[in-house]
Amino acid sequence: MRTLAALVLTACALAPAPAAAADWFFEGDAGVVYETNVGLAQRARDVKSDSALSTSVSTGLALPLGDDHLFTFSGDVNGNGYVELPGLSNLGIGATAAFRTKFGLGASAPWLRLFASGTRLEYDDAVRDAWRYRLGAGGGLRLGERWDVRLDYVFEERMADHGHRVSRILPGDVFDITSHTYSARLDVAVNEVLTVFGGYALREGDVVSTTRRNAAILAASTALTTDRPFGPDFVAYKIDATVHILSFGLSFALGRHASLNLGYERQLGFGRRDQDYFNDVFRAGVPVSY
Amino acid sequence: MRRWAVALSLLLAGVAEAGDITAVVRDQKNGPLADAVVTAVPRGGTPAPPARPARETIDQIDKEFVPFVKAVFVSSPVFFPNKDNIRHRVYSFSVAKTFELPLYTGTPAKPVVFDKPGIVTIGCNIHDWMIGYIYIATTPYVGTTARAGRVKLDDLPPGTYTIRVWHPHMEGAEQATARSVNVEAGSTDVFFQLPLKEEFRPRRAPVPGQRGYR
Repeated sequence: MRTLAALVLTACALAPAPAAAADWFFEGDAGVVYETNVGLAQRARDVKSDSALSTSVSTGLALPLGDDHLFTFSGDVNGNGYVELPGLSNLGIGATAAFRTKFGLGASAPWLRLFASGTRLEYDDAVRDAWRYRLGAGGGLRLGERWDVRLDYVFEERMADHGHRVSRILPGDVFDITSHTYSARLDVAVNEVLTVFGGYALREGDVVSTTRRNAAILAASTALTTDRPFGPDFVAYKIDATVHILSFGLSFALGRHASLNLGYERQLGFGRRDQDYFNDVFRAGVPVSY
Repeated sequence: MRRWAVALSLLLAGVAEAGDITAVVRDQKNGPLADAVVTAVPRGGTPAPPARPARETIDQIDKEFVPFVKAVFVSSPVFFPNKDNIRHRVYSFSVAKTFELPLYTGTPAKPVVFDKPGIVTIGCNIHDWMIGYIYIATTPYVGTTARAGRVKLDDLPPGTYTIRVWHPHMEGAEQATARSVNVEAGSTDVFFQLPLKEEFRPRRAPVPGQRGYR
């Protein structure tokens, strides 16, 4: 808790002083998430599904820097409360700085966005507590009146507080993970209210899965530790995997400042030594922005 | 002195005979249509321009253009006061007027003069959802419907007029709406029903994975 308080104070201190030409913005989201394989398990007997209430709030400043550039800085808070596996419930507090530039005038002009974020993640069960850092670059453009395309790259690093070793062979730093994600997304305005979106993402890097002890899985792992939120006989392990993520969703505008969003995502993970898994994620939420 | 008296009597006679047109515009569902521009052009003659084009304004309030549609007489100067506390960058690519106001707050000292008739679409390069329209008319008898879908054109000299209506989301061309109306002393009512098409401007409401400022 002391860490979170320190982070909030630091974010406030680093935030740009309110300027006459800067715009305060507020974004929030509340919703539910259901996952068919929360632990990203490879064996059917280890698969557990769960639902979570999910919420996020972000507020900050948008500051135009010259005619084509925009700098944004925000403080971000998000939380997830799991129903069956409360040890996975978490609170994240962090900050995001982003720079956007447009190459020309108009809504159809291509744009590029760079961002960096840092988040402190605190879980109900401390084994997953970590600092998460993200660096990303993305760009896109509007094609005609109805189509929006964007490409993104995100580098993510998580540095966990704990790395309890439970194996003589494998290290315990399961929750120290690094990944690279490349994604493409298309949004189509069906009418004035409804936008349909779909995308594909390729994620390369560490994946944390949870299982009961299994020799084949342990042989493919690069780290191992206990995972009490799933049960006393479960262990979390880290594998190097390629994950393909297909997503699809609907977004209904509720006036100018809110939407109702419904989304589905299928994650197909391919780890070394055939440690493969899949996870279906269903989301429903109401984001607002001012 | 006698000449002045004649001129005054003619003027008074003209005013006495002037008529009004009240136009009501509805959409295909019979709902009132706001922001429709109604013009009246006298048959067989170009109406006299105003002695001095009115100074017009289009505000930027809560990151929207207000009004959404503005009708002005050709050669009118239009100011774009920014009443938000963030800078806007207003632009237009339209054939009738291409212009750009670099990032600014407050009110730019010089107005933009719209010297060609036509329709100008304006936008803000910081907030892509901000879109507005300026209708540049060659007749001083022009107005924009209010929320109730109604507009009144005042003080039209008696005669025959061609009445047209335009809306940014209308199906078809403005010319197809033309009709003749005889204006006499008093009020003449005109009714239009316009089928509308969908609007696909960039959405302001949040979309997952996209921040308001992208």
